Amino acid sequence: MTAVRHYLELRFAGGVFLMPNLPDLLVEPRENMLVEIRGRAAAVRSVQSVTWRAYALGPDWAPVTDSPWTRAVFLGAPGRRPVGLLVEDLKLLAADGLRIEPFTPLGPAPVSGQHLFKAAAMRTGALTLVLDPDALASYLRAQEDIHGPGR
Amino acid sequence: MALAADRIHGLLLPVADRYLLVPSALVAEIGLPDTLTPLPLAPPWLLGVMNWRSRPVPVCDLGRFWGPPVVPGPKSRAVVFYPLPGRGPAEFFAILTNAEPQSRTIDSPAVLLTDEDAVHPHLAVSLDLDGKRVGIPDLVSLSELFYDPVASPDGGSLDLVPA
Repeated sequence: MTAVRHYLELRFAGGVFLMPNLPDLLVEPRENMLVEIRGRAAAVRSVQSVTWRAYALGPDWAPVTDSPWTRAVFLGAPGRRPVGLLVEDLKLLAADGLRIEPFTPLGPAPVSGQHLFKAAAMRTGALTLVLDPDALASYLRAQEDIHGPGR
Repeated sequence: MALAADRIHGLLLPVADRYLLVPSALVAEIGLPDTLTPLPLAPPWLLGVMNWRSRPVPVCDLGRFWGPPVVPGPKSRAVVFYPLPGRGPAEFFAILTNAEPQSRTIDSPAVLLTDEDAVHPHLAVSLDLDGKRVGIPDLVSLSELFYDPVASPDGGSLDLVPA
């Protein structure tokens, strides 16, 4: 288990969320991406004939193809091709400036066996939800499985 | 049918068109529902997560199981419950009410209601208490409603490292 030293503050789907900045994350600026014209992925990263798909999410967290995204955050997983989330804005925050508290969301998990959020960063009178990278990757891959890769 | 009731200290929580009767010992605090942060892809009865004493606490609207959804207003309260039996020590949750809960000592017989409206999977029993329709929550049923058996099987073990 690796101590989290930084969090990414991500703006997408009409909200702002945090996510641990883990070593296997890769951030690509929009100019390094190709816009997808078919399927549910909004953009792809294509390097040496290897294509990674990235998804933009609307306010209901369903994939959308039209979004003012500026960067893609690719989430890796052993043995699986990375999958990307398109975000409108991204900031790097030091972990020691945040108070992260765990919690268990109520209700069925949106991804089989995985809640998208397991913690929140507490602020005076409010909070910011912290994404679980593995669950987010599973959710994005599920969009591909449901809707097809589009290619 | 009359029930002989033991003397218990309880709270009547106004929820939808009835009251929930809960032992006071289950309730950690009654407060104003602070800013609720919506939880994406959550079921409709989960209103969001609030910052309670620097803890994230999910807030639910159980009333929508029996009536129209609660619209948070100036009289609404968030009743914060201690974790349900078998859950982790940090798994507080809150129920939104229409108004301030009422403290009540139950020491008189109540009438058990058995009409169709009184039967609900999340209520253990429904009573007529001094003319009020009162439901006693079924904690086992609530636990099954709240906690995904695969996503949180062990009372909320977490693999995040605190900053």
